[in-house]
Amino acid sequence: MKPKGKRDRRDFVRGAAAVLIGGAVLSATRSRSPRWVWQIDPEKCTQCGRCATHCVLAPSAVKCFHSYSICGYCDLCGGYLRPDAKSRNTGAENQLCPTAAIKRTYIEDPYFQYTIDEDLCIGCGICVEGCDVFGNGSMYLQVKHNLCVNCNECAIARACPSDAFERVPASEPYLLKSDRERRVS
Amino acid sequence: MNEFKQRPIPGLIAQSVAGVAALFSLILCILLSADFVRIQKMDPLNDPHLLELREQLANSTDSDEAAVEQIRTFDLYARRAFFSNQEQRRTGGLLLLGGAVVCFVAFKFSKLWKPKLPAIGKSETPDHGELNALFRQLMAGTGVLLVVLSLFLAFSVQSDLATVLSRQDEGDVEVVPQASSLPPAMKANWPSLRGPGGIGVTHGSIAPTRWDVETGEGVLWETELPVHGFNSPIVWGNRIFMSGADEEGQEVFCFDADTGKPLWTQTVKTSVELPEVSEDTGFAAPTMATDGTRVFAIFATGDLAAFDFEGKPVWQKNLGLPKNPYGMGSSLISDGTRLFVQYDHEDLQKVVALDAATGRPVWETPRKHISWSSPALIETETGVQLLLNDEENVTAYDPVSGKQLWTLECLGGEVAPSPAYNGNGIVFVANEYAQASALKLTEGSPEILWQYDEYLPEISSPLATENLFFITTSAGDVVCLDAATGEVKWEQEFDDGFNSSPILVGTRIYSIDLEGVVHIFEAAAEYKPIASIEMGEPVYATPAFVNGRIYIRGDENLYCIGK
Amino acid sequence: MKRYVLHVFAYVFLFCGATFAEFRFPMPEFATGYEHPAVHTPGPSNVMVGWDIVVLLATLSLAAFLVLKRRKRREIFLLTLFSLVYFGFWRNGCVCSVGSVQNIMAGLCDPGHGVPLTVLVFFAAPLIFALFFGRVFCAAVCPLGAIQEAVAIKPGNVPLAVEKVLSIFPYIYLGLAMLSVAMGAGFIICQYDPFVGFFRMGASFSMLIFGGLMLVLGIFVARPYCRFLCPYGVLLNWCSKLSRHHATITPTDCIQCELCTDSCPYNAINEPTPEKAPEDRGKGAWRLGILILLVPFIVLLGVGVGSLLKEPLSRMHPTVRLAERIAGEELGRYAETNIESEAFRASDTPDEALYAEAIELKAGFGRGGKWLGAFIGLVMGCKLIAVSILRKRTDYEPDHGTCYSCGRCFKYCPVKE
Repeated sequence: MKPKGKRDRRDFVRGAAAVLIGGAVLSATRSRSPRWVWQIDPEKCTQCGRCATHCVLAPSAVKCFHSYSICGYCDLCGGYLRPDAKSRNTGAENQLCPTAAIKRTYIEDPYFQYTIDEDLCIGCGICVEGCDVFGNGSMYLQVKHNLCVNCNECAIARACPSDAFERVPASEPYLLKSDRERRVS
Repeated sequence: MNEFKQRPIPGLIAQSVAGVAALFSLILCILLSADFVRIQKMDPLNDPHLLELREQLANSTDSDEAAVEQIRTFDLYARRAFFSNQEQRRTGGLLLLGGAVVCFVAFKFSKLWKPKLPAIGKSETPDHGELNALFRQLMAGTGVLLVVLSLFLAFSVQSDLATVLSRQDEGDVEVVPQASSLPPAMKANWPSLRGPGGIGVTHGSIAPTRWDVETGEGVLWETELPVHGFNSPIVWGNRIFMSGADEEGQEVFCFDADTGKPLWTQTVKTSVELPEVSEDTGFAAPTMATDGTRVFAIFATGDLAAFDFEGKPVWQKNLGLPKNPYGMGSSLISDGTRLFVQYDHEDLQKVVALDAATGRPVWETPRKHISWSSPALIETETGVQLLLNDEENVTAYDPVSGKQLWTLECLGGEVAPSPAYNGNGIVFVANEYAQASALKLTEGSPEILWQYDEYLPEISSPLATENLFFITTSAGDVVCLDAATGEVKWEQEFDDGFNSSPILVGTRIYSIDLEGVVHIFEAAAEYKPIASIEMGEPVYATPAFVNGRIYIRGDENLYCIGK
Repeated sequence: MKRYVLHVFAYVFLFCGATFAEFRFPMPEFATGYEHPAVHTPGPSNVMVGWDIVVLLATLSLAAFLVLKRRKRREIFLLTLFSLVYFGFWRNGCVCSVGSVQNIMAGLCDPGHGVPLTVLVFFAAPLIFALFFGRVFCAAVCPLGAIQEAVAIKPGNVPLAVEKVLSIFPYIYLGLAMLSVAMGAGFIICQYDPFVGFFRMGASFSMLIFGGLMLVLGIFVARPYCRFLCPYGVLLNWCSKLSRHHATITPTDCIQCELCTDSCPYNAINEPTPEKAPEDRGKGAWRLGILILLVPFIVLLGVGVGSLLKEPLSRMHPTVRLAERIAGEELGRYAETNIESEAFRASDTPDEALYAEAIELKAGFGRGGKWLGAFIGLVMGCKLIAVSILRKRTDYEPDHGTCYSCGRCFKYCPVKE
């Protein structure tokens, strides 16, 4: 058994330590947030291609999103067809997407709908660049949250050259282009 | 229960299972690593063979069936490889995990049957003192190691940034007046509104004084302009550049200076909504500028575009939608390496210098007041200064750093006229509803020599010769003032007002009124008219004078006067 | 769903004039009455978050109960395996307590950086448990500890002196990590987490190699990460030193049988002090006095060395790296541009602004380097003093700071209740 004096001292130090931990916790929570998740700001994204290679998951949790509400439904789609494509069909020589993740379906003359097959998409952003340069920019990259493991520090965010990754509240986990326009208007 | 009971045979089995599992895991590990290294090197999308095929297909005029077929096959294999590889890796990872789990479980089990027995009797532990001595030595060794490592890091990591910054500092010290003059090529051409430096002075001394548009006498050519715009022509070598814009689009066009033939037209796509502009400003009021290799055009949308002389786009950007009751009015100017943009609007006032080659900002200095006037580059004794007018002040900036050199409150109202400079230390500014001021440049803030407030310009800029100042007003008055005293030398009234700015050519002044009459008079202390020649259509733009020719942009046509 | 579509149509109808000017291609009006599909936006899996906290608190309590009351190594180990499976493989090892130190630090430095409740609990609960029951978190809850505990098959002995010297590295790691977070240079503990790659079944190659090496080493040297790197272990060590009820080797009284002496692979069993003093008391006191006087000098040396580390430390920050890259490209040091410099040049930030920011950050790292140096100096000084103080001990007992409460020694004790 320890002498009483030593016990008291120990209790005191323990109390002080508990206060310290509590203090650290309290001051760290001055602005406590519900929960953060990672997301890409499509305005900042430069489609460098690192989303496809730097995610801890393979294939990446970043996928191409398509906001139909701002899509032009072009026959000559910059996100679907290679710039040097000779004809507008589904042939591999014409497609931009390396995994053929974009499905082209005929709606009515002269409109086509482009749908992203998320199982095939690897988040490389090649189509995004095409759509930005030649089209309305309705295709853009987003972190798919049912796939994302929500790392404490996102490995892609660390590698992103244009600082496009940011933390957003988990209650509104997407930065959709169609939403943005609605807000702006 | 005896926890140390020995059971050798199951223990042995467990041990061999563990060994096999460990071997299995190790082999898997090596395979996966090798596979990983292989994949790192693979880049099927940029495979030389595929690129070659694509090239071949792109170059063939009709669809090259064989190439198409080959690309498709290649693509199929690449995809199949990609996906089966992913599957393999996932399976490999799971197998590895399984192997490791089996290995460790088996090992734990084998230990269950052959546990580590407690050592009986105290093993020879070193004596406390010896242990401490060893600890202190090791700690000292670690300390030294850490220090050495830190020193190595500190001296091996060099900062390029520090080098660049110190170089910049040295540069600042060495060349205080960084550019004492504009490039000579600029003076031989007409690179911006009101010529080299934008002060309305031609460096050549001859220009025609007789021509007739109706008969075509003395007119080398005339050509129709495709899109309307209030901006003035700029000329470099044998090329003329102008811009035009309306609700339909924004265009930049280039003409051959010898024949008047259009060489190219480029559209500048806008990414923003069209702003409201007044009718007498339009969407293309600012005059273009050139640095000798590229031409630059800015529009009421804030779209700024650079093209090379062949019309190839070099860069384009939007400086932000200008909010402005009339529209963007300020013209561009370049000193050969930088492009300066005066961007004074309702909610944003700034002057920016962009790298002419890339369009990247070199510096940006905030300003305080709105303005429609254009910047001028003047060559003073201490170096080139960038002069800007706004609705209160005249301000000079260092074109290299963007640092404000001086500012003086002597303007007022909605200012459109730009500054004038007599080439000898006196700056001349004037605006309607304020006054005309002559500013003598000194080391610090300039000194106001005199002020004058009778006939003042609203749109056209004043003009300075060495000893005389000239003002042309919207009411049609022309006033000549003494540069040193401000004494009125003469006043002359014409029928129509002036939007176009007067230009000094040798000893003569050319000034075009709104009805398109070119008034030519001597730049002298007495009024000596030389000629008044009708162009036959309204003229708002300031003419360009190069190599004894005059280029005049009328409302609809572009004229070349001369031989 | 239907409402969403209505929304979109209302918006299209209302604002088509204003917004269509922004698009190259107007949105078509479909004659066939086509309605576009909605964008599929699955939310993050929220369900588990509350469970994580519950499971954490439950496992901590159970671990404390097993260590202090049940005293069965096998049961503790089973709980360890459960934690490995749940916190590791099932929950992908994120957020873990080890990494949460950084979130707390980030929250302290930048009030705008919100710290979620889960992270707070993950940070505080193990420390509070350590204050009362010792490092039961390390024993059976931490997935990083668990995976190392699982592979520790043939743990050898590390000489005590080496162990003590190596134990300063967690402090250095902690100092570096805190500096990095304070300067906004990223979470290096997460970046160099050796095992999270296994938990997620995927990581960068270097991360997997590092983790693999750590595991192979862990077969022969038990818990190498916990002992010689883990920054959270530093805090747990401090708290555990004060613990009210720490695990003991013997359930009642020590009979000095010495059976447990080499049962601990972590060098965490303190032996009783020998009867006769190992050396002259006066000599020991002298040495202690000199060491205490030496501490300020070691700290000063640390400050001096730390101030030299401004440049290398500042390279942790991406902005500084970018500024150096841009400056290097300007000096013609690199043959080509890289993705970062291209992205920067595509933006409208002037070089000067980047340089100014980098200079400011470097100044911050200069200050931080001095603090880091002082901290490391202080730690080394304190270690020297602590080792030189001879505490009176009569029994074999676990070292309250370094004992992981793994329970290996329990069965070696012949004394039963």
